[in-house]
Amino acid sequence: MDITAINFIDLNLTNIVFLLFVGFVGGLVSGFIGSGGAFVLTPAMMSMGVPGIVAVASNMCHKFPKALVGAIKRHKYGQVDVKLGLILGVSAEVGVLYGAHIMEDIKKTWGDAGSNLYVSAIFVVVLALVGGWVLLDAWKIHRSGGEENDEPTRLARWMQSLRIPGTMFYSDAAKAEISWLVTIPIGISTGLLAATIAVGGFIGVPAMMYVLGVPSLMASGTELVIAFVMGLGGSIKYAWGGFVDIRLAMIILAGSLFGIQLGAIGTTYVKPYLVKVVMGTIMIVVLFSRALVIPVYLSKLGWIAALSETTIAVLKDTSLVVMVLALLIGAGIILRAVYSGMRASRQPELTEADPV
Amino acid sequence: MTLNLSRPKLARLVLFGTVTALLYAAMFQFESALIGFTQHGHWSFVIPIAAAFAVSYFHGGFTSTFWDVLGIQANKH
Repeated sequence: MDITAINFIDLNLTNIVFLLFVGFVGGLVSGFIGSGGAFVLTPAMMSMGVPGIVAVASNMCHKFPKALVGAIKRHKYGQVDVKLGLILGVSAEVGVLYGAHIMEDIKKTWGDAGSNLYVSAIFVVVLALVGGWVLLDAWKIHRSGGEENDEPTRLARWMQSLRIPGTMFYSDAAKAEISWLVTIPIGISTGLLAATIAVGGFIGVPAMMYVLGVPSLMASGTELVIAFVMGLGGSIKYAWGGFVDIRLAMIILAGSLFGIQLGAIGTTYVKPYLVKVVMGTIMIVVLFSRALVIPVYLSKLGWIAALSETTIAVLKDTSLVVMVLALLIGAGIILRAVYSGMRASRQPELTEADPV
Repeated sequence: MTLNLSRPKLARLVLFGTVTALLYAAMFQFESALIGFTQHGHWSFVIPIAAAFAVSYFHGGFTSTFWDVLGIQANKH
């Protein structure tokens, strides 16, 4: 069968090695901050000639098993609230389906350029607001000596004080009773964002921390459960339509499972606020990446003066490079922290073994 | 870097690694048939989903043991 005739690309060694590498780095970041490693894969696959919907579908089909492996690993370290993750996962699934519906409507009305503009605009607004907040919080903790205050915010305390009969459940992560009703807006927003920019955790993790009072390490671990639930539902939907390229999904998964194990191990060596540093840094760098391509889509829609083909190509290429850079910076911070943490933790053993 | 290799770990590494390699070899061996089948969608959705679960179990077990053998383990302190 001629694979190209059915819109699935022929794979060569360079493509495979590239996907393995991006999968590994993406897995490393996801294992550490709960999500955020996969957003670069869709544009990366599209740059290889994979049709957009196949890239999204194959990306999603590698994310849910990766999230499952990461969640199991981090559960062993006591960093996952399965109950909270499943409850949020259900409403997140609703958000994903509704988000996909919005995307389809926008695409029908304004075409590909309108849909891309919407995605980029959401990227910029959400990343500026949430990324700025997370990074500011991390900076405050760093200035106060790096010790994170796990005390819930005022908003989280208020959320935990709400008593709605018949809806309360105990969250191990928040160490408090929470009404599942207050988790619905968080889950739906997470799902909406996941359907739009492929990284729901950029809302899910900060919302768990600041709105529900979940410590950062627990929030990033629990996000993996939400990602699993959302990813499984989304993958079935796309696979039902025949859009998943099983080869792409499995190749990325091969690299990402190495990365996610390492990222999860890394969380046991660092101060919890580093999750916020990595997440905030990636979000702000990605913001610039998406902001760069907004003029391209505005021009295609005729809302600003037309840009030359060269300018469009330069802006798109620079955007992809900046996005890859975001991922590499995040991975670099994680690897450095793991290396230092492992050295520091082995120091007492070495000292005990050799008292001199 | 100190290797953390014991007989059970080596057995686990070899077993999970072999099954993973066989899964990937089978995928590339039957590449065209697999793509043709999954592209029909509907109930063939079971194939990519089942493959994802199988790979996550075997390759997940392999990668976990891989880092463990290399001495990269979670902080126990």
